[in-house]
Amino acid sequence: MTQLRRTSGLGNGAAAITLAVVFLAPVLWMASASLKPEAAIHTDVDSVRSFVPAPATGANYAAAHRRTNLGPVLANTFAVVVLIAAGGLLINGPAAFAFARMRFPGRDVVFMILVASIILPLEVIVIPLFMTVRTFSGAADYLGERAWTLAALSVPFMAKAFNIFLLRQYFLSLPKALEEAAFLDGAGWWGVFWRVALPNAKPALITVVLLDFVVHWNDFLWPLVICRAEDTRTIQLGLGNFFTQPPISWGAIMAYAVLATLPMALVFAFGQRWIVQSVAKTGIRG
Amino acid sequence: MNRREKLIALLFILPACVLIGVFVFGPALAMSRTSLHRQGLTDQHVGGYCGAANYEAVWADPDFRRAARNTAYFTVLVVPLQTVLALLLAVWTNGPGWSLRTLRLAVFIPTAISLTVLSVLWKLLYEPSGAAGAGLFNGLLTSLGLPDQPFLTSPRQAMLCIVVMSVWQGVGFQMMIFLSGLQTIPDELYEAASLDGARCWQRFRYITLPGIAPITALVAMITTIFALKLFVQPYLMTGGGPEGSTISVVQYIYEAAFFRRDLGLACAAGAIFFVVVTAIAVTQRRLLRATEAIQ
Repeated sequence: MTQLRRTSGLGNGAAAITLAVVFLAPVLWMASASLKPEAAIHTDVDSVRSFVPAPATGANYAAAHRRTNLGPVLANTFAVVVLIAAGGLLINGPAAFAFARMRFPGRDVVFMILVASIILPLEVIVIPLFMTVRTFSGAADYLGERAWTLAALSVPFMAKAFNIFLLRQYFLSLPKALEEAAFLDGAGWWGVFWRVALPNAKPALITVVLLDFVVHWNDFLWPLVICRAEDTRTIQLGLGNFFTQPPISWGAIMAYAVLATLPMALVFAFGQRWIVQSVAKTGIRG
Repeated sequence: MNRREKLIALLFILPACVLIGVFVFGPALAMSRTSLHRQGLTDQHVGGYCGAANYEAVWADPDFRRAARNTAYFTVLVVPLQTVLALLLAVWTNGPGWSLRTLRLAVFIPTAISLTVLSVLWKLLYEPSGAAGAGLFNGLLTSLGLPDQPFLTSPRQAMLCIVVMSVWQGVGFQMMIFLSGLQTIPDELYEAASLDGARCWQRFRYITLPGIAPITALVAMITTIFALKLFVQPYLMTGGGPEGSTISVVQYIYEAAFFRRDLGLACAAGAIFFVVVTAIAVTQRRLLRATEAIQ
């Protein structure tokens, strides 16, 4: 592919770096504004000083923390993504394994029906899903509002046809010999699944967990529909609310936005390769 | 396979089947049922059967037509822009060297940040000059001696602003898919073409483009579905305004349920939305198969 580029070398490299900086300018501005005194943000917009956090201050982060309930909101969001990822492994993993390895009547029909559910994204069924989840609202009396909301944010998204599909593909690609050896050693189906198939499917498991993390950490629509009390919100919804809550302070808003981004930035730094590979292979996201 | 093993298989797939049944197919059925009945937001049960009245109400509603028009406009702009830009960036950055690697990473970073965060950020960047101070873009225009722009506060510019922001956010993802497609084209083809005296453009036209045609169709399909589901950007940046110029279909559905408090109306709009999204996905899938067959 290098042959495709006529002008290699210095000019090309400089152009690439320039474009990279311009492309990232909004994100750099966000980080810079989160560290600047409020007045400086507004006076600097017409110069390159806009991107330099000098003088720097932590006041915006302190204000974001003081004016919002960041602690519970972050805890909620972590709880939701962990519940979805963990519940997803326990529910989608065995199903994928059964579809890949076990023979039972109706297997392929059931699998096709499940996969067909991919054509019903959240945006399409958000209102009837809200109606369905509302029918369980009696449980809020026993669980408490916060636990009920966490369940409502996580349980509907644990079983995912896309994840079953992806895991099944991976199980199919594993050699059967390992599993057969385990059977000869007297293991049952669950033992073979849990101790042989699952550990060998690590790349697929990582992909599935990462996708769940990214999609649900970043989700806005479903929390918007479900969260009633302030301390049941997730981080994206918290930002959406803080953003319109007077007095409007750009610095504090940007500080909140940076805090909403950092955990996912770490996840992406770690898992970018897996996420891109899976999407490139299957052509479906989320 | 004996009965015991069939039972085990059933236990393995049962939790997934039940949850997907209750939380995906159940709501889909409820949507079609509710769309044919009257039901307010606080009614626990479905009201009287009303035939196609909800569908007629949606169809006749100028707000829905505006939402459908806005969403179509957004999609028609975003899909070609994002696909072409992603392809150009992929071809450019497909190579060794730290400067190209830096550009790849820079283009990919916005896709790792939530649409909520980026909508809030770009709303501040687009801020018109006023008492609170100007946003970065108007500051830039001022320093270049150009007139201020209203951006999100203008019915004519608002959707274009959202398009620019969305292309910027999503292009990195498509670029990555293109990059993985480019790796599958064997280098020998380019070498042979060079020996035959093919120029840069000819190599792109006769080797690169045919080589990634299937993946281009795939990228266009994913981008289309994503564009049709537009919600967060206008909801946070403009609230659907000014003058309804950025309200999307998903926001219309949300507001039908929670502002107008009419679940029948919301479900009818949702059902129409589902049919349109599915029809487009199926058509594109057909095209995708056709292109693969030609290869």
